[in-house]
This record gives sequence, structure tokens and C-alpha cells, in this order.
Amino acid sequence: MMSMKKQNALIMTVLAGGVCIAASVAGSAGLLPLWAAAVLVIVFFPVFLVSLGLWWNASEKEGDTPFIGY
Amino acid sequence: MIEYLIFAVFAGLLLHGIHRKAIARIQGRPGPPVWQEILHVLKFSFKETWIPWTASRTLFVAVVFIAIGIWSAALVVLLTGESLLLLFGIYMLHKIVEHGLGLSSGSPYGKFGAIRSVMSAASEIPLFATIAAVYLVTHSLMISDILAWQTANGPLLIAVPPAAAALYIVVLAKMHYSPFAVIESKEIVSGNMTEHFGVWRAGLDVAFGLKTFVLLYAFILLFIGPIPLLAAAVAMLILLLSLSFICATTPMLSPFDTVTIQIGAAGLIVVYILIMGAIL
Repeated sequence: MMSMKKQNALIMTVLAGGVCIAASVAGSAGLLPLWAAAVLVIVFFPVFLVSLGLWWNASEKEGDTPFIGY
Repeated sequence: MIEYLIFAVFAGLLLHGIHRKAIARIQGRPGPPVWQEILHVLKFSFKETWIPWTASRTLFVAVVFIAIGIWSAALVVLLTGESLLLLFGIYMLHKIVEHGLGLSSGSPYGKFGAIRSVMSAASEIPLFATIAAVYLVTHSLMISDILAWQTANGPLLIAVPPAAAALYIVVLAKMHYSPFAVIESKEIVSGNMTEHFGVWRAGLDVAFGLKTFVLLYAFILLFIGPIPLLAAAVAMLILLLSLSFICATTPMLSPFDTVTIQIGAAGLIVVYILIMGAIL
């Protein structure tokens, strides 16, 4: 279950990062209108950042029982 | 485009670090290293992350994406020289982020922060005054036209200093440790951000770093004009240090005083605009 979460976060990170880079390159090269490239980057940049954090944050093993106080 | 965003994120976080360092030095403390806020983002992103049981799950997470998204959009608006009204609209959306952060958490501290955010809507009124004054002088709200006007006629800082003062108050209101930062006052823990921890807090720190970079850069573009990148960086640093000085020497105001001062400042600028409008 945990490794599944980590794998999903990695897939999201790679996809969102790929879209950001592709949109930036396509926008600069004139293959995509600048506004369309901007919209893609604005939408996928937050997804990339949060997925990246969730990816390196996700554990691959089950954690201990959380401390719930004395 | 993505390269500008990544640059702005690191520059914004570095500016936050310089802000903290400057405040500490003015107060006679050593303070953290200037890259501390970058380390904070990394630290938070490695912390265990979950959603509190009492939170509104969708809003709790969505607000982080919205925060990063709107300030990314604001940077694009600045870089492409689009309308000042778009920047104003994004600033309004930031208000929704502030409300959403606190209200989604289910924490009483978060909710207090969110309610104070509603009260401190007065901080938007000086921004409105700025836009009106800039329009009266330049006859355009496009940032590219405003830059062209300054190239021909000199900085707006000299032409309409009260409008610059209004935007200065707006930028000051959004700085950490500002006398107007009642939404994250320490008596309500971290205010509306109290329950956002781990990756969520890292995302918010990135968004707020972007916000600081955009607001400082917007001030330079709107009131000094198009200057080389290095000169813009120096001007942003001087502007930040002046804000840090105010933050270091002024205690946090009560919510009532915050609203009174911001509306008072906006009122004075409205009078100035009316007189200017009558003369022009």
C-alpha cells in the first residue's frame, strides 16, 4: 500500500514536471501560443511541487504505531 | 517559463531569509542564516504529512495548489506585461487562500486567522488607490504601457509618490512579521497556517516566497520602471530592507488598529487622487 502511494506520487511528479518543461519549450519555440503554455505551466507547476514533496516523503514500509500521549 | 518560476521561488525564499536576518540584526540578535527559508521548505517536505481529522479535506489540500498557482500566474502577468487588473484579481484570490487555509483546518487558531483575514480586507483598498492613480497618469492599465510611459517620462515614484506609498503599505501588509500581519500573529499559534504541516506547509512556503518576489518586483516595475536585472535585484533588496526595518521596530498592531491605519492611508490617497483628477 505504502509503496503504491510512493509510486503514484512519482508518476504524478514525472508527468507534471514533463508537462511544465514541454509547455515551456513549446511556448518559447512558438509551437504553442504563449497563453496556452502559461496556462499549462501555471496548472501543472503546483502539481509538480506537491507531488515531488509527497514522493520523497512517502515511506516504503509501514510505520510504528503513532505516539498518542501518556 | 518554468525556469523563471524556479528562479523566482528560490529568490523569494532567499528574500524571506534576508528579511528574517535583517530583523534579527536590527533587534540585536544573530538571526538565522539567509538560506534558512530554503532549508525550511526542504525540512517541511520531508516531514510526515497527513490531513487532520477535523479538516475539510478537499479545501485543505486544494488551497495549497491554488496558492502556488495564483502566484505563478502573477509572475507570468508581470513578465508578459499584461494588465495591472489581472495582478489585482490575483491579489483578491490570495484573500480566498488566506480564508481557505484557516477555515479548512477545523482548528480554532486557524479559524481565528481566517476571520482576521476577512477583517484585514482593508489592506486591498490602498492597492485600488494605486491602480487608480497609475491609470490617471499613464492612461493605461497594461504593465507594458506603464513601463513605456516611464521610459519616456521618468519613474512613477516621482510622478505619483502617494500611489507608491499605497503599494508600499500593501507589500508591507503581506510581509512576515509585519505590524499588519494579524492573521499569523503568535497569540493564535501560526494563525491560518497552524494546521498545515509537512508537504502542505512546504508548498505554502513556496507560494509565499513567490508572492514576496512578485510584490517586490511589481513595485520596482510599476514605480521605478524597466531597469537591468541586476539593478532590479539591488532595488528589490533595498525595498525589502526598508520593510524589514519597519517590521523589526514596530510591534504587531491589534486587528482594529490594522484596519484603521490601512483605511486611513487609503482615504488620504483617495483625496490625493480626487485632487489630481480635478487638476488633470
